[in-house]
Amino acid sequence: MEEQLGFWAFSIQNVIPRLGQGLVITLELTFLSAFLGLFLGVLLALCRISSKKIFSLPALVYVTTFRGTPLLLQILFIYFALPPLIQIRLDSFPSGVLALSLNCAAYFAEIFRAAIESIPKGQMEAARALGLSYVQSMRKVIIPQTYRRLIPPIVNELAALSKDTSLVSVIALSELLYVTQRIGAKYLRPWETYLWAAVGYLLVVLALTTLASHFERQLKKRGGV
Amino acid sequence: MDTPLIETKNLSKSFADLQVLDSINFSVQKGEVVVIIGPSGSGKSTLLRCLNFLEAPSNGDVLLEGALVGMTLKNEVRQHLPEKILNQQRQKLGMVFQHFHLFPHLTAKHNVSLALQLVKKMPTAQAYQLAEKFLDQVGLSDKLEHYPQNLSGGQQQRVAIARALAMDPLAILFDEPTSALDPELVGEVLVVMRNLAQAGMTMVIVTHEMGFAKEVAHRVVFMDEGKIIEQGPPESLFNHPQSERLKSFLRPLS
Repeated sequence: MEEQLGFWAFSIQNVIPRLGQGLVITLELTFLSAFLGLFLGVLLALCRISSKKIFSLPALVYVTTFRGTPLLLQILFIYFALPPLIQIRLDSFPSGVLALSLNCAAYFAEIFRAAIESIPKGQMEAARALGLSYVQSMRKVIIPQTYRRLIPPIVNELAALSKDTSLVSVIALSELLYVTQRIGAKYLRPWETYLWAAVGYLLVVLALTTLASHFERQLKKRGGV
Repeated sequence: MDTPLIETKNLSKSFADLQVLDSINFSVQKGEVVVIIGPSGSGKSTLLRCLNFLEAPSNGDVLLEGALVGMTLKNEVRQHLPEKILNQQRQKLGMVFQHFHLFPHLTAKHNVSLALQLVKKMPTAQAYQLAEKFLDQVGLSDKLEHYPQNLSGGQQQRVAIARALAMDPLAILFDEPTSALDPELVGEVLVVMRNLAQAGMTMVIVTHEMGFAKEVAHRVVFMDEGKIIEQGPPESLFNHPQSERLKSFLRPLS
C-alpha cells in the first residue's frame, strides 16, 4: 500500500493546484455573471420605476419569477429543459453564466430600484424645474447620488453570487466545488479538499469586501453623498 | 394692459377627493413682485407648482407670455405637450424651494452650471464663468467649491437662488424660501431677494414673512381654501383688510 502523504504534502501536490484551476473558473463565472447581471439589472430597475405599465409590468414579472424560484432549478432548466424547447444546446459554461446573470439581475434590479427611490422627490423636481429632461435628471442628478449607498448591497450580492456559482457544479462545470468533489472522491481524502475549497471561497469574498471598502472610502473623500 | 407674463384661467387642482385649488384667476405682470399669503393648506404652494407644471392642473389653464404651459389645444381639446416643449417652457421660470433641493453630489459651482451645460448647451468654461458670476451676486464667491453639506441653510438657499437666476428666467417662483431656515439665517436670504426685486426681477413669493411682504411686494394675494379671497397693494391689504378671513388671519400679527 502506498504510503499516506502528510497534510501539507498532499495539499500542495494534489489539492491546491487543481483547486486553483477550479477557482479560476469560479472567478470567471462570478465576474462575467456580475457584469451581465449589473447591466441587465440597471435596465430592469429603470423599467420597474417607469410610470408606463408596458415597461414596469414585464420587469415586475421578471423580478418576481427569478427571485421566487430556486437558482438551482433555473440552472437545471437552462441546461436541460431549454434545449428541447428552443433547439439550442448550450455548453455548461454558457449555461451557467446565463443562469447566474439572469438570476442576479433580478436582485440587482431591486437594489437599484430601492436606491433610486430613496433619493428625495425634491431632487427630481428641482432638476425638472431647471428644464432638464427625465433622462438627464436621472443620469446627472438622481443616479450619481445612489453610488455610495449602492456599494454595500451590491457587494453583498456579489459575495452571494460568488458562492452561488458552486451550484453550477450540478451541470458538470469544473468550477471550484465540482473539482473539489472529484478530488475528494479520487483520493478519498475529503477533509483536506473541502477545507481548501472553503479557503478558496473565503478568499474571493474577502477580496470583494476589501475592494468595496476601498471604493467607499474613495467616494467619501470626493465629498459625494 | 399688456399681456400678463404669467396668467391662470379657472385653474383647479384636486388630489383624489381633495380640492386644493378652486378656479383660480391670477396674473403677474412683468417686473411685478407678488407675495402670496394664507394659512397652511390654502393651496399657495400648489398654485406655485402648477405655474411651471410640477403639478398638472386638473382643470383650467396656465399661460406664460400668453402661451399655454404644458398643454396644447387640439380641436378645442386640451392635450399634454411633449416633454421636450415642456422642458423649454420650464426653464423660463426659476423655482426656489423651501428645502433648497440643491444637488448634494455637486459643488455650489456645479449646482449652478449643471442646467446651463445640459439645457442651454453652454460650453463648460462659459457655464462656470456664469456660475461664478451669479454665486458672487448672492455673496458666495468664496464658496464655489463647497458641497451643500458644508454650507449653512442660508447659504444653500442663496446657491439655489443663484441656480435659478443663472438660467436667465422670465420670473422666479419662491416656495416658502425661508421657512426651513434658522431665524438668524432668514435675513441673508431676504437681502438677496430684496436686491432681486429692486433690480426689476419678476417674482412670485409664497411666504410667511409679513414684514418682507409689506416692504417688497407690489401686490399681496391672500388665499384660503383654494381660493383667492383678497388681493391688493400691501398697505391696503394689511391695514384695511376687507374680508373676515383675512382679518382673523392677520389678527395674531398685530
